[in-house]
Amino acid sequence: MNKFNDIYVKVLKESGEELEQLRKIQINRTIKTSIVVSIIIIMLLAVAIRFAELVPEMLMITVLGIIAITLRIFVFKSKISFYKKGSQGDFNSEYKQKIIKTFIKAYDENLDYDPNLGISPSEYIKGQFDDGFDRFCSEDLIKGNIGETKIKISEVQTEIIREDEDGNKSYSVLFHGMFGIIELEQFVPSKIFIRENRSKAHGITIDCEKVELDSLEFEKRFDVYTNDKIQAMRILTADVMTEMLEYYNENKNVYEITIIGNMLYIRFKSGSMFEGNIFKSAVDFDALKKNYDIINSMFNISKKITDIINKKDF
Amino acid sequence: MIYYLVIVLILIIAYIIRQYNTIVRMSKAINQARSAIDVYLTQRFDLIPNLIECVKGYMEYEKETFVKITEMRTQYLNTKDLKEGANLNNECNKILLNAEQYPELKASEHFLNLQKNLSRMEDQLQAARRIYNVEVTQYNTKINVIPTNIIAKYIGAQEAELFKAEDEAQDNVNVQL
Repeated sequence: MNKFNDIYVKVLKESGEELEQLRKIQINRTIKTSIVVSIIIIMLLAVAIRFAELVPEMLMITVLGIIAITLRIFVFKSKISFYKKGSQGDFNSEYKQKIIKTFIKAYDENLDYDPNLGISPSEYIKGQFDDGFDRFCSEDLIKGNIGETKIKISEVQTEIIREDEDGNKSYSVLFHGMFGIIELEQFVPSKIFIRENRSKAHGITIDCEKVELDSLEFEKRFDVYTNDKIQAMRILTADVMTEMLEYYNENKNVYEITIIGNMLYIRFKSGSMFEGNIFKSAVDFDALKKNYDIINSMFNISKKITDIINKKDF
Repeated sequence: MIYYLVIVLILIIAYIIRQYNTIVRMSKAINQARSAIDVYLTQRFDLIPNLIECVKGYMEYEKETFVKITEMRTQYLNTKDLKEGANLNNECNKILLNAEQYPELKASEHFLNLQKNLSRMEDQLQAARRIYNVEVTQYNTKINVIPTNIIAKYIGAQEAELFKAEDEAQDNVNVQL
């Protein structure tokens, strides 16, 4: 795994310039389209107002009609953007293929990236992070081996339907961030859930209870549930807890872990990742650094825990 | 007025009962954690006869040392004293450490299996001790904070002793390599 500065230089050199030109083309196109659409809307409004002056009885219908068409356009657009993230057309697609692919390969050449693939809902469900969801979306799959450990990471968003008193339904985001699956070399004969401190403990099975650990600082950030306290203590050693806290403090990013059988599931509440922004540089330092910090934290925390588990005799 | 006084009195009594029950539960949790340590120590010490049998042909240990270890084991099984258990565990670790100097012993499959099992049990034992210390710390804190300390004093709750690894660690440093 390489350092961020080396990765950034490689990305800049290989893909930065070409994509920057595409970004500028995309901006111009977006501005021109916005101007044309604005002019059309203004003209339609002018016609509608004139029509309403001539036939006052039709004023209400005209206004309602314009509102309905506008809402329909926005609803349609938001449906599209949920299932196809980063709806900035060609630029985002190129950004992922050129910048992010180079970025991931530069991070570790054993990793492969595909922006169009993701983790399946059934794989996500096995992590037992949520009690259930109504809508699921995943993309930006990274998979490969770190050493001898098989790993799969993807951006995931889950939503649930909420209904208000009037029966109106809306979607509410449950989780949006990076989700990872790591295959362990050993079978751990217990379930261990490491959750955000004072969270509602979704997904915890009934046979598990909260375990108090011998690190006050760790207890402030995380709650641990398990059906076998001894195994949990064997895995969560002092240096594992210290390293987990270090990554938490560095990124100020909440993350949670589930260990069941021979699988480790980890998720970071990072929000949207790997999305291009036509209004910022194609190789925006801060955006890439954020991606690097999250990915690096996921790999390092997973590696620390898997190394401990793989050395133990269960 | 009396009505409010009665409600306050009921709340106070309910609070006292709750705190008392919490102290009792925590005390039981300590006993459970101590019992877990005992289980792992006993499992480990059950392998001592096998260990002695395995190493005595290879290692230059005096017969008296093996007799001493066997006696310590019998003593622990009778008393279940954790300190005695810790001392005996330390002696086992010394044997395993000294075995590193004997290549023929390290090549023995029987010894390797024993070593693997003992190592796993030691790891479980460390985890059990950590759990025990957490339970003791929580209990000691509970019976010392205000106002629970008043209830604790009234029922005669005493502070529990933490498991200390200092003596064991010191002895390990003195082992000759």
